[in-house]
Amino acid sequence: MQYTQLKFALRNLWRNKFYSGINIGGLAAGIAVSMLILVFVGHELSFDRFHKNADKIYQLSVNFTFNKQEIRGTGMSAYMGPAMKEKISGVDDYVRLYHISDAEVVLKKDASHLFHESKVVLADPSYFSVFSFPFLAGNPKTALSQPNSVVITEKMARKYFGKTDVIGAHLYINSKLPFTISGILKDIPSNSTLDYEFILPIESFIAIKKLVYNESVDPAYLSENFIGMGSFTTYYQLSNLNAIQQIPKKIAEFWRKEKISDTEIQSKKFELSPLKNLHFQQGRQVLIAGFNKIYLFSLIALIVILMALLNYVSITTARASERAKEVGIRKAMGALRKELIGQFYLESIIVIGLAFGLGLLFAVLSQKIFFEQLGIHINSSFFFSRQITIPLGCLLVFCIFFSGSYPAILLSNFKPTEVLKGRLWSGRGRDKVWFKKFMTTFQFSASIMLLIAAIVTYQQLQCLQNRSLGFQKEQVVMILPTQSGFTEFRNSIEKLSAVKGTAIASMSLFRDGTSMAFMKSPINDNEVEVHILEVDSHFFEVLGIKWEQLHRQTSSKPQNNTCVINQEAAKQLGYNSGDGVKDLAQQLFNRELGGVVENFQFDLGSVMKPTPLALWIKNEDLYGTLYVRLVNTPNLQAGMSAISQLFKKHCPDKPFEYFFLDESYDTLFKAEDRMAKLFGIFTGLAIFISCLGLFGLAAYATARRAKEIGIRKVLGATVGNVMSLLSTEFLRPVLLAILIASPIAWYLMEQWLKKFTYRIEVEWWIFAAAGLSVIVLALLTVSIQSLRTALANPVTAIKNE
Amino acid sequence: MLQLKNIAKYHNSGIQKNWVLKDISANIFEGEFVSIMGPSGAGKSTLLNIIGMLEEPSGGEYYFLDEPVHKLSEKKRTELYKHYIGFVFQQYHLIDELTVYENLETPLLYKKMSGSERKSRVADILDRFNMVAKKDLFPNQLSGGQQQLVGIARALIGQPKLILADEPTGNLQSAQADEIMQIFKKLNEEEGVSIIQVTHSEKNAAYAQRIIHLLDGHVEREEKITK
Ligand SMILES: Nc1ncnc2c1ncn2[C@@H]1O[C@H](COP(=O)(O)OP(=O)(O)O)[C@@H](O)[C@H]1O
Ligand SMILES: [Mg+2]
Repeated sequence: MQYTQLKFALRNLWRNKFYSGINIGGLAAGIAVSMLILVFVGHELSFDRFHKNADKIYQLSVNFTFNKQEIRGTGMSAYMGPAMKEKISGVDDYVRLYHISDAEVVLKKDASHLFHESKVVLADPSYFSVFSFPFLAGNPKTALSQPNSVVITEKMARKYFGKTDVIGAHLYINSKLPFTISGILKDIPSNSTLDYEFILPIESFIAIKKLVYNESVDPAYLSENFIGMGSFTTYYQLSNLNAIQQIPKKIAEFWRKEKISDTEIQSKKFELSPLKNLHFQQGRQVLIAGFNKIYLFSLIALIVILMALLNYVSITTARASERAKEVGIRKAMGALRKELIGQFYLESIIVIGLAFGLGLLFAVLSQKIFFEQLGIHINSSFFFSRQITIPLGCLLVFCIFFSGSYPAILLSNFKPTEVLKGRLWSGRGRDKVWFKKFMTTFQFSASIMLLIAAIVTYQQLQCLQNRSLGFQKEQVVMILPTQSGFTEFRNSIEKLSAVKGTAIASMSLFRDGTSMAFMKSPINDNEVEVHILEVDSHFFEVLGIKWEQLHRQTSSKPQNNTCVINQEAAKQLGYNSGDGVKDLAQQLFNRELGGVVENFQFDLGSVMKPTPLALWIKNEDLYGTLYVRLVNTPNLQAGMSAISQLFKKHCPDKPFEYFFLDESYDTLFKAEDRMAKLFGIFTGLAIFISCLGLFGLAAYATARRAKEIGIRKVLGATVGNVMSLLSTEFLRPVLLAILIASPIAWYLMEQWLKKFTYRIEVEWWIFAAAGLSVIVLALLTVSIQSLRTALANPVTAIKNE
Repeated sequence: MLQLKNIAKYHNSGIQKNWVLKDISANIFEGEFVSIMGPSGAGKSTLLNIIGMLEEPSGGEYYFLDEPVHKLSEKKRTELYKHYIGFVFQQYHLIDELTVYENLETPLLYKKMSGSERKSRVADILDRFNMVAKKDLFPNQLSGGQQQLVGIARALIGQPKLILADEPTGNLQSAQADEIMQIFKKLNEEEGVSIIQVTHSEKNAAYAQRIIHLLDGHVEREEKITK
């Protein structure tokens, strides 16, 4: 029996190759996308769970409000770690980390192996006992116990030495400070928040501060018994989760002893966050704000797979009448309802099984491109982990039940006598079509919403990217010379004919963060978060930043040691050139006001909304990024190679790296551009699946109506009459979908756009364009089918009785 | 009314030509009632379809109301038969999804007739066939004879000059068949509608004025009915 059923199911699928093809193809596409998204979401959710102590590790942070904004800080004083371990019994251990941020560190093995590194951290030796990073070589217990030791990853060992057995070898930081390699880590898994490639002992803090930041830190900083905010991200390993409440209490206790006021204590809310949640808290504020990547993608996966399943259900039920006779005969011959249900389930198991196989193949083939687009790296071993295989199995079962149940129950329910009399739909051909219409409407509503969302998202991104920056971003290169060779290098390149001018700033625009200060305006009592940038007086001219007013108009440059603010800072601080509050800058910045500039963009935040900025003019001893404006010629290469030669001469300890300002600006949007592109691809896919379903339904409907159309043609219907008859049947649900989807899409997009200061308006033509293109697509899809029928000779159709 | 000159028809089956009609010539006059008889496969339906312009002959000439049908474009032909010809089928060929009323209205829809005129024509014909009470029923709620009545009513609603009926009574019992034949006779005599019917029944064939006997694709003989 089982075998005959299988044979019958296979034969039935084969006989209806066309519909089986549509079902399997659409499902395979849907499943491939769902699988990729499943891997992505699974990967996101699995972050940091590989640590053996994952459930016991907590990070300390402090929350406070400033200028009505929630601010979260994780920098703690050095004593914060050991104090809690000593005083609270539930705290087993602590790890303090100090991340040496971007572009300021260069690691070097020899003259030909030196690179900028950003994943460098100083850590307590407990880093390797609290966290579970497996070692390839070296002893986790002692790896960081020696002052000048460093643990590196396998990947870095290969990068610098070309091999992995390099324990005992040396690496130099900024060419000066030597470290001995004491351990090699296996490569960090892709789902780890802590992704440091170089781990140095925390004792090196003082030396690193001096060397990298040129800051002298009192050695006591590491050992003094001070509780408060500071430089170190602090993690605790807890054996008793009561400590989550105890630690903030202990901090308050310390502060009370120090006679810190109660209001101050209450305003700083210390908090422990589980390591497992960290990944979701710290991700940088994405431009596509409010679009939680995980929810968004899960939703898309759900929509796409539902659409494909609905195709299966609607095509199968649409063809139910054909199968009805078979079912009737089987029932008359004594088949039990159970067996009939089994028959239909078997068919859906085969279809879904084939679709899964095919979808899996698609997914494997496209996963590399997909994850590259998302800008994430996922270890291939993750694909086979339980986090993926179990949900995938559930998805399979869900698909089988979802797709098999309706047809099975509907078809097995037919009364044989009725069916054999050909009275499947109780005689009225017009009933029951609501189900197909509903599915078509649902599918197209979702497609249209996605399409509108894709257009609006794209436009909004374009709007942000194409905004004026407030300066001329073309032909400006940012270079980071070494401190020792800085001045000579600058002087030498200024003599080059390719160079128009140079300037210095403490950071690289769009690449680094600025420092920030919170200040209270003496004029209007506003609390303002001011970003601070140190620049030399050439900065404005070289970048082409426009002055709104320049004090002491004796030259086109602001005076040394003055402070320049942007319009937004002036506005928020209540500064108004007319009212003579001359000493505003003096009070706030301890500097004289040098002028006010028009707003210009300097980091992601300022791209999103006007941001207060103060520029401190410092002409001597300023070390940071060199901005070079090149002469506008087509041959930039010659100029760059001349600069490169001089860099090697004056800064031999650093690789020559440079960033064009305009390119740096564009990379700000890389993640969003990728997201938008993926969104577009998914939207296309959803529309494709909808059309595939419509195609199948139209094929079926026209086949079923072939005789009717033959009669109509005999009665005088033209090809045009027949086409419009067949098309309107399918256009009506699509039109309804447009009516349903447009207001919902409008509302959702309007909500999303509210989060932007600089935003587009959702214009009517977007809806018109989305609606029209979907109508045209649907019409084309249906026409392929109906044209054939409309052109067919009516006699053949009528004869086919 | 219409003139067939050396009409031939074949179907290609592989390399071979399958002759269905060979060298058929005939004249049908306005107001005439003609029966076509012959064994199954003789080509009766094919001939009727050619006359009805649903199929094209492979050779020969066909004049309908002095128009050279064999030279006309498909569009012209559609116009022609839409206005002058009504079809009645053995299997009735009503549209299952439409009510009696809507079935009757369908041919008028393709003639770009105004709504009010359509209404009055459908009402007229329903009245004439005594089917007013059944106008909202679907075809499969009717008996075979009733369905064929609707079929004839539909053929007549466009007020054609010629009715082509392919075994109109083939699926009916003799009482119902007689009723249909009476209607044909009345139509022919009182309204001057030309009728060409295909039938296997000697009795029904005799309602006509002339019988054309087909055999293997050619006219075997013609028979005049004298009453
Ligand atoms: N489309 C076709 N292709 C091939 N042969 C056909 C086709 N239509 C009809 N025939 C053949 O032509 C012959 C005459 O058919 P038909 O006119 O239907 O006969 P009748 O109505 O007299 O029974 C039959 O032998 C039939 O097999
Ligand atoms: Mg026949």
